[in-house]
Amino acid sequence: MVYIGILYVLIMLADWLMQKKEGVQLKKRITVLVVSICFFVISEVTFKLKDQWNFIMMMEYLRKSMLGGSF
Amino acid sequence: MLKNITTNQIFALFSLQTFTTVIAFYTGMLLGGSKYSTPVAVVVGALLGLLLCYPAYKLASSRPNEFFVEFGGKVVGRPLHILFVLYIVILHLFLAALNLRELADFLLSEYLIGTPGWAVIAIFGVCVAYAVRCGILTIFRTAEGFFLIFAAAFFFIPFIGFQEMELDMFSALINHLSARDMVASILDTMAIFGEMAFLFLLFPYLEMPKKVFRTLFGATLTSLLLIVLHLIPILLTFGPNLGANLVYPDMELVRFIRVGSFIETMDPILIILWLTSIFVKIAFVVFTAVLCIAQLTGVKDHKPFTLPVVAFVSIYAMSIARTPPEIISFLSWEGAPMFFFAEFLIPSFYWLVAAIRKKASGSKTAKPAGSTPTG
Repeated sequence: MVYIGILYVLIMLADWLMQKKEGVQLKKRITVLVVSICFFVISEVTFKLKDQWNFIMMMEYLRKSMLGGSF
Repeated sequence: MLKNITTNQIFALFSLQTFTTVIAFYTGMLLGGSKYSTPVAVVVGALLGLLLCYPAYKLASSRPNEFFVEFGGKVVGRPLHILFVLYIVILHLFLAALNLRELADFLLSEYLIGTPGWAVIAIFGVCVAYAVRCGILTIFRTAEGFFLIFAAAFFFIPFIGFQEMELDMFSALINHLSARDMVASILDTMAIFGEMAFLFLLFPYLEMPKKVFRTLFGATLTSLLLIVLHLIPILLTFGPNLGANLVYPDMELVRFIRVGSFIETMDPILIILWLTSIFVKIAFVVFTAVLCIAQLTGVKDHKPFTLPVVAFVSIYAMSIARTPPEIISFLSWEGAPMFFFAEFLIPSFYWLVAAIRKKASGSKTAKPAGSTPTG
């Protein structure tokens, strides 16, 4: 969890500095930062829950509960 | 930068990614579902999968100089378009993570036993990030460079194991044909070959967009030839029951046919082929996702999104499933409908709406012209 945080901080910092160097508008830099933060949050959540829940398990549950396992 | 991907490069990339994925990871799953009917089911599924790509091709070729993410909002309305694009992006990220996990599982279970999974994924992630950051042309050129050698290697490998096959079993491929058995493999193969439809997201990059469908047809036939060339020896060597229970039947085939000769050393060669081909596939899928995100957010350059997306894909690959059988179970059941929605239903919907709008606007402009002579 901590390592994921460190990785994303480094990535966001590197992207921010590289874009600043290229003279990219502040609005676009903030957009990239927001998208990166979203990915960071999803990464942390999926990693934290990896042993209890995942997307594949959710799809299986939906198939068995909503479609009665007929499909 | 635009209009520089040739038909040869498209052919190479799609052939490479399709036959490698099927041969490396999905052979066991296909054999489990269709047994002796698998080769025929794969042929039927591949051709139907190509047919699935047609709406996507027609939609993209109606505006070959515009990206789907940019013009789609004008067709179905922006809110709906954003939802569909988000679905496509999520599916691409999922597919990339799934392939990365399958690759890591393969390496960790066969060759890098005891190595931490994150290390394998991180090293591979760095390579993918570099390729994606370099751009689409780099990925297609990589595929073009690898294709000929890889196709030749994949073509000759089954012939080396000829002496190990139970040739009497060959008649079972015809005698044991069952339409009921075929259904599962047809659906799975359709979903895998239908991935070619995602090229509609990159149409402005193509040099000759009108010839794309012909190229995809060629790629389908080439992939089919190589897949069937591997499926039949696996069936004739292991039979459908053992073949279905092996996680990597093609790898086992190469190991099985050593008979004290030099063939044993071909093991690492197969790994090189698989690793590189899957690398090209993951890079392509991630690039498409990154490009869609960049266009959706209005940031023209895809590069700033590369590192966060690759980091997400790498971390997600570690948490996508608890065990490899969970992945196989997902692909056998829920995977295909999820892919059909993005490959076929979304492009078909856009195509239909665009056709209705065109007809409506056509009749509107035709009315005054028609009414003029009568006054």
